[in-house]
Amino acid sequence: MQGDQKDTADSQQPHPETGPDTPARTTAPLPDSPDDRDPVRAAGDSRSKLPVARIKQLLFGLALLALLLMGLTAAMSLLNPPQWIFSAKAKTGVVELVTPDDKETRWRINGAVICSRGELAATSAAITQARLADSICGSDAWTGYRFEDPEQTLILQGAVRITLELSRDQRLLISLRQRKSKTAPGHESKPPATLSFTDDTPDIELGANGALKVNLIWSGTNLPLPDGYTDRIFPFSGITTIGRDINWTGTSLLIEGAIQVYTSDDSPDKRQLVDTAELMLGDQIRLLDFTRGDVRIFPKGFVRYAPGSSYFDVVAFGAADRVRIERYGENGYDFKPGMISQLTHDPMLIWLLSFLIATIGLLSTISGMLGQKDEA
Amino acid sequence: MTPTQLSKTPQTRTIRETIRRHALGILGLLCCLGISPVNGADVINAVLLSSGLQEKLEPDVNVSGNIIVGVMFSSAHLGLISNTLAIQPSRTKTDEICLKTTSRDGAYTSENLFRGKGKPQDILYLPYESKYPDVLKNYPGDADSVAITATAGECSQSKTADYYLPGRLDGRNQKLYGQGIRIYINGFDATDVSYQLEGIQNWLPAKDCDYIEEGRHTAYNFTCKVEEVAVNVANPVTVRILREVYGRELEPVTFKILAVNSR
Repeated sequence: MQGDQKDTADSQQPHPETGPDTPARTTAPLPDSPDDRDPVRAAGDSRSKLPVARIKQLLFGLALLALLLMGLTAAMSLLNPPQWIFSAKAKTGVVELVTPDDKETRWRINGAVICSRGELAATSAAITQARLADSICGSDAWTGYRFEDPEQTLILQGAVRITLELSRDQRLLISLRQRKSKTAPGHESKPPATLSFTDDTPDIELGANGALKVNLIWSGTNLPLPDGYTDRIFPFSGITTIGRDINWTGTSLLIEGAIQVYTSDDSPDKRQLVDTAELMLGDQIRLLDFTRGDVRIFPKGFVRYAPGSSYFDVVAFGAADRVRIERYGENGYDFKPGMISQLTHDPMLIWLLSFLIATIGLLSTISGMLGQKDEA
Repeated sequence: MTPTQLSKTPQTRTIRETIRRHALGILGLLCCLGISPVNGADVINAVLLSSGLQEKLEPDVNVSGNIIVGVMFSSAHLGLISNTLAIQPSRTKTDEICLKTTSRDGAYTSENLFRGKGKPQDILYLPYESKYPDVLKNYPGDADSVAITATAGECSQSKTADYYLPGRLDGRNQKLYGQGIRIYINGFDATDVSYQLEGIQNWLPAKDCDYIEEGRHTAYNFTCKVEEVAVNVANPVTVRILREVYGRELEPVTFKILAVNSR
């Protein structure tokens, strides 16, 4: 009984923290299970936990979705190899180009001897006077012409196979050959090359006497150019082959160089370097055209020749999924970024990966917060 | 009018006279049209003079030294793949045939000696059971990717001038399919390659050979497409290959094609 009276007296005294006006807390023992708790408080807890659980579920679902999309994107990326931008720079003794049908190429060719297979149509006295009597063109089958105009221009307006080469005595040689039409053999369009002048010499259509067969020869190009020009630049657009297959008579080779692969973003400032391959002496690389929609896109670049040099500097770039490198003593190989590079430079995949990481981070943060609350 | 009466008319006599005068030309025309002037061809199996086919498949390729790398009918590539390679024999001193194949990338090569003899109208089948059929199939037939030569005599001869024309044998009809002659040339650094056929009187005008733009050129880089052999060309056909480096002429190469009257 004494115990019961004490309990009653304690319950009638004011609570030290809540003050005399506040009803005293019950001293009943804490419930062992949530079911035993105060129903009002339990309802409040479940209301606060329900959205958090839902958020957790939602985030978990999003993470799963991102993972699934990542897998799909990775599979798509691997199944459909992306276009890369290949940029090649090389020192080489020989470059071969095939110009497109529908693009124009213009080169300044002052100082060159123009060797034509068959004579050029002598439509003016200037052409007759330009004809050479010496045998610089190699044989009687060729006729040489040298024009004095310092700004004579070669205009190519069709598919022409061009070889730029440096001879052993450092003469600059260019051959122009009309490419046979693959779609309609024997029905080639008009000669695709014209010589244009700034003086009174009329324009000359090269190859008007048959298929275009013209060699341009600069003799003594190991000396500085007399017309004030130092270097010769030949910009181009077309299928590009740098270097030549090794054989026992040839001396014109690729000397050294490198190929760099970039991501093919439309904006150059967003492009990222993906991979690099060094080129060895004797390698040969080929940059081909590719089709985007209905448009054929050709590699572009330029060839630089400095008088006295024993090689050209070539820079070329184009879009492709690979570049073939032919190497002597091997069977050649396709240079292209590896699978990992392909995946790590896929913007969609990177975005999904970022999203996945953010979602997982958010999930772990929320889990941590809930854990702290439970402990409190 | 009976056939006997017909044969005696002046018009018929004129036709006969014309045929007699232009017999060689007509024969050439038949060749041009790809019609074999002989019937009753037998297919004779040539014997491989080694225990097995001598083939090499090497990724580390060697540089070819020959200028003439292939002389063949365009159908020969298919004959190689389907083991139906055949030639038309010719009246030569030897009954040995050296068959060489070279892929343009230089990775696949073979050199084998066969023995077989037949009448010129017969067809000599060259058994070619390759160890690498899948490799050969991967070389596209329309891309000038494999060159074949079949020459008279042993393979060890340093200079060979007599070439047969390998092609695909149609066993059912006992015919050798032609459809154009292909000559594959290693032009080395040549900027221009052309071919000339020897006419009855003199050399015919030169025709350009095509530079092969695609792929690797380890073994050869020009193809000469002789789509038709003109009427006034001697048989066997003598061919001259002309090469130029920026206008400078290199030494011409001359050889004979022993038989062209097949299709």
